[in-house]
Amino acid sequence: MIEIQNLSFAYGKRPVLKGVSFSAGPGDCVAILGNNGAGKSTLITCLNKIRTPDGGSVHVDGRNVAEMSRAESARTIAYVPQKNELGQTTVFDAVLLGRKPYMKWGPTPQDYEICQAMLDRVGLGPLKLRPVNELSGGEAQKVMLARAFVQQPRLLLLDEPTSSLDPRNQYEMMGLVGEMARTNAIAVLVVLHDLNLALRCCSHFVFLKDGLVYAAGDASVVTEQALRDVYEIDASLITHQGKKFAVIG
Amino acid sequence: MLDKRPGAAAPSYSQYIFRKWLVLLGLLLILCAAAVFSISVGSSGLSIPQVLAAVVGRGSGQTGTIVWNIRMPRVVTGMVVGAALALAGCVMQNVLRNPLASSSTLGVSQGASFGAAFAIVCLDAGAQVNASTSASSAISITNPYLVTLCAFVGSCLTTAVILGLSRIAHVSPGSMVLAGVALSSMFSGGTALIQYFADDVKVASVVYWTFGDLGRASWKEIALMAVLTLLAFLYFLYNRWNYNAMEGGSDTAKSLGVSVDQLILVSMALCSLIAAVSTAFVGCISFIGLIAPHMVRPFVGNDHRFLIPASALMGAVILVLAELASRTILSPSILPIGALTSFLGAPVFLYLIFRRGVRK
Repeated sequence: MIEIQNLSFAYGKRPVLKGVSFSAGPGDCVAILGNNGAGKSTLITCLNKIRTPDGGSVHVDGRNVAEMSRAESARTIAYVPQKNELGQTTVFDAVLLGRKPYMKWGPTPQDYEICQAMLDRVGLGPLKLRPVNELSGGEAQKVMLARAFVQQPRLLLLDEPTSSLDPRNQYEMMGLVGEMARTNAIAVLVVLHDLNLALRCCSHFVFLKDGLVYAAGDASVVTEQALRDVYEIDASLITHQGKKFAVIG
Repeated sequence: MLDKRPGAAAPSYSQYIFRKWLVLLGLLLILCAAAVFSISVGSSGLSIPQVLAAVVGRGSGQTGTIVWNIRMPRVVTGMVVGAALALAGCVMQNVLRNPLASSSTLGVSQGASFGAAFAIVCLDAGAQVNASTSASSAISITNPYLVTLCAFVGSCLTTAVILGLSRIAHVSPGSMVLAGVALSSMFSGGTALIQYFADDVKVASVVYWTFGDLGRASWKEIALMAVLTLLAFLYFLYNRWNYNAMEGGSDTAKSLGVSVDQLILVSMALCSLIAAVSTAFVGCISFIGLIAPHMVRPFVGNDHRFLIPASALMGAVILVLAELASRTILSPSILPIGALTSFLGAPVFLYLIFRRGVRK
């Protein structure tokens, strides 16, 4: 159970988050939606100590993240940034980094097993000795996701994980995220720009506007009015085969 | 290298790690061979068995004296200083996220030169002409401790400014490299100004100091450098996984539990310390810190479990070989080691860049 209460953060004197509160349960896949500059990435990085929030609190399974050590919070919360910089690292070593929060002196045989199993699970077993920068965008993103999963977190934070992927890889990636979240009871917060991808793959939605939560909840909070207020676009929502879709314009 | 043909049998991860151990073992053997060979070469030629016997303390009186008092201190200084500069370069390149970082590109060496020049010219610590000996030793430093101390203070000053900027002004690691470039240019200018107003003999002393000389350190000083370098090496090796996490950027490293700010601060301070002590004792030896890590990356990659020891070994090998070259190319005169490493290091660096460009 993830509880975010009254979180605030400012870059210098410019407030970006002005008291953000919402919660998510295990297995939930929560889309963080909003315009550029609404504070989505800032929100994500305030949750796991990459940035220190000015006020408010984050609790994971009842424990305050601010009171955890760095290694403890790394065992509780995993993060995949927008940009992957692990260029020349081999796939296996990149995934092995996810076991770092558990390492004392070095990786144990168990760490190797967990990584190997995860690579096989995401279908990258045969590529394990390739440098990450020789992979396709979709494969590289899967490596980052595998690294986050071997951290065995309770909360997974994804910052625009699909922005450089083709449509097939976008859905495959989000499908994998949803499935891993459900089977391992991990809560996922994902910053997404593609509304339809969010509607298709996420169970819950948080709209951010001007540093505040405009609306949060299940698919029922995604309304034409919300899209007009948050994105300042005219969109109509249609239902096709029981699923909601946004048609813009 | 890995076989990347489709369908080629994929080597297992343990084989892949084993190969990296082999690289380390190979470098260690090359270093031992280079050191023994270097000790054997000189005006009174010694055979390899004689050298080996003397090193383990079983040589005849005269051979033992030559090996232990004349040849070995130079070679061991080469190993320790080469390893220290390469370690500093390797770790600075990682924590500053910049492949051009090293003690000589960040101004640590230039700070040391400025300190030495200040001591020699303004504090009268140098300059004495002894006409009876050959050109390279005609100019001696009368007060080596003062010169060493000032050189050390000069390099620490550079580090303090760079680290101060990062702590107080919160500048990015990339800007720290820029600050280093600015400082090194400032110190070079300062050294030039001091030289401009000094008399000929003092200028010659300063120039001689900046050339670098591995023969300046005695066993006592070698022991000090070796202990500091070893302690820094152990700290770096202990943090090898943190450096690996830093390869993914500082946000990723933080999310993996690395105390990024503290890691950068302590690593930079240790790198500067070992580079400053080395430079203070033997003078400016540039380029080794920059190229040694780049020379081993094609073999061990960016994995700091192996990159840190491999860089240290490579740095030691380069400096031992450069020292040998400096004594043998124009024997009996000894070429300035610092000039030689820059002169030979730059083409190697260009080759590495060229090869990387071709591969892409």
